[in-house]
Amino acid sequence: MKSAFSKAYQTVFTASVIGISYALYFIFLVVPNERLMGPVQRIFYFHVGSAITCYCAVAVVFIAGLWYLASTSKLADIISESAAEVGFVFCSITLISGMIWGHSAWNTWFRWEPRLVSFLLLWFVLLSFLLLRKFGDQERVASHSAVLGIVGAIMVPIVVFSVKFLPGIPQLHPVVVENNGLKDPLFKQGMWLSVGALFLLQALLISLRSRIGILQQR
Amino acid sequence: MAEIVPNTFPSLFWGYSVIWLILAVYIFTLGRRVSRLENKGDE
Repeated sequence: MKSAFSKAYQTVFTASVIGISYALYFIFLVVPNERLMGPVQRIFYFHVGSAITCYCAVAVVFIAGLWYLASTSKLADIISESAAEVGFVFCSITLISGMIWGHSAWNTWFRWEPRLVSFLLLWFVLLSFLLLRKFGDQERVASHSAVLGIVGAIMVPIVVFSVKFLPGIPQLHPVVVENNGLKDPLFKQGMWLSVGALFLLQALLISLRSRIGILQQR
Repeated sequence: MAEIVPNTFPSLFWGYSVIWLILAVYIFTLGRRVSRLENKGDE
């Protein structure tokens, strides 16, 4: 059983290493420089890739939460906790890389605009999920965190559609996408390559973290 | 006339450094936790 796990991990690990290496080659050596921002725009590929990966992890938390509430399955609880932890890592990467990119391109680390604020709230939801797991009442923590995961998942559509909620407020994100970004098809290819590679890495991390949960149950 | 591209390379360097640092620390921590638990199970 242990060797079957190791083989599966090795396969996904190899696939994600190859995927990330190819994505990096493509981003740094194939995709051209963006005209206005220069080299820093290349943060975009892993910044957006991490954000989409984070949304996928929250979707796993949501589904595993429903599964737990319907069946009280221990495996559902373990998967939910694992996906929340991995989602928190990718959410943090998105926030920090976005701040570095924003400081260079827009001369500001953070702006109180809907997209940035809603994404920060998603980060706090994931943080509170992990704190609940750590310090919550251990007898009820599984059901409490399942409910928090299900309710917290509402943040994902709010983040995605936040740029349309308040069209009167000037926002940095849609300006970039509409005026400068993704006109060259290589930009889009680079982005989807990064998303695919990070998605594989996320699958590996969630399964590795779930393995820890399973081993702790024994 | 050649276009002047702003030199934003330092920010690019720090952006990717942070991404890899966070991922490396997390993967290292997960690996250590798995091997510690597996060793405990083998004993």
